[in-house]
Amino acid sequence: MQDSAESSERRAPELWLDAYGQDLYRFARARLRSDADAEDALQETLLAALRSRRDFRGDSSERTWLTGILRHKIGDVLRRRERSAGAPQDPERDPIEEEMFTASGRWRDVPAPLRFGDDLLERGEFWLKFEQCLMALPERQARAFVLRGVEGEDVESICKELGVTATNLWVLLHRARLRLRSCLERNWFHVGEER
Amino acid sequence: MKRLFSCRENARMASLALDGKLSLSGRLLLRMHLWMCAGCRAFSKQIRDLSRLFSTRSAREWSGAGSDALLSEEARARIAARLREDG
Repeated sequence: MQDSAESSERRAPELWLDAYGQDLYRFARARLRSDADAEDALQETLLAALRSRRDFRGDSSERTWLTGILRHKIGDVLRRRERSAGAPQDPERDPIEEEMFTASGRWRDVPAPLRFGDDLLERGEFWLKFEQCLMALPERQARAFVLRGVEGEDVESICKELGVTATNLWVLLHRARLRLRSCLERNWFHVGEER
Repeated sequence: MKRLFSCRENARMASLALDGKLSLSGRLLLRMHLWMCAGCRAFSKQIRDLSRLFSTRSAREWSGAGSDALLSEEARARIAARLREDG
């Protein structure tokens, strides 16, 4: 009896990998935008779960428990990235609005009347450019934009994951949109190249 | 008042409207400005479309339809081996 309980416990991490690995990987991949980082985060999560499985009380489902650990691991990766990118970003300190608008608040380069239509969903080259533009954003802005776009993420958990207030989140999102739109205008529609 | 009607402020309001966080009076100001300003009209429409496209795209990746978001067999095997080591 004890033997079989023990052996099933031994197998648990691999069972988790089979049952939740794919979903946890996608969760991490969507946030980290990198295969290697997502794989590492998944591995770290399962190792941490293995070490602390005796603390798992079963109040929540295994999936919720593992997702909670994964969120922390993703946070670790993102903080490491932010550190290696230089000073942590203050959401109040981003010159993007000054770059986009004149002192009197007019557009420096007026947005061209272009359409991002649904046909782009099927265009692989567009999503390549999109990813490039997203990667060029300050980390926290990119995370805000990605989390906001991921289905089923409510404002409260996004703020928790980013460590910002709701007011900061709206600012981050706005700046992300300003940068992303202008990046795609240049790199997808090639507006302004002749300037 | 002039500042309130600037494109800079208006772009902020367009973003807030997209997040459903703009007051009724804000929405009226926004609509008035958009009516007069083609640049902000383009901006407002474009950020809305980009957000929607990205959400649709993520939802697809999420559901597994995007095969690029799959954990590879090699990675799975490597992680399983590492777990066995620690177990």
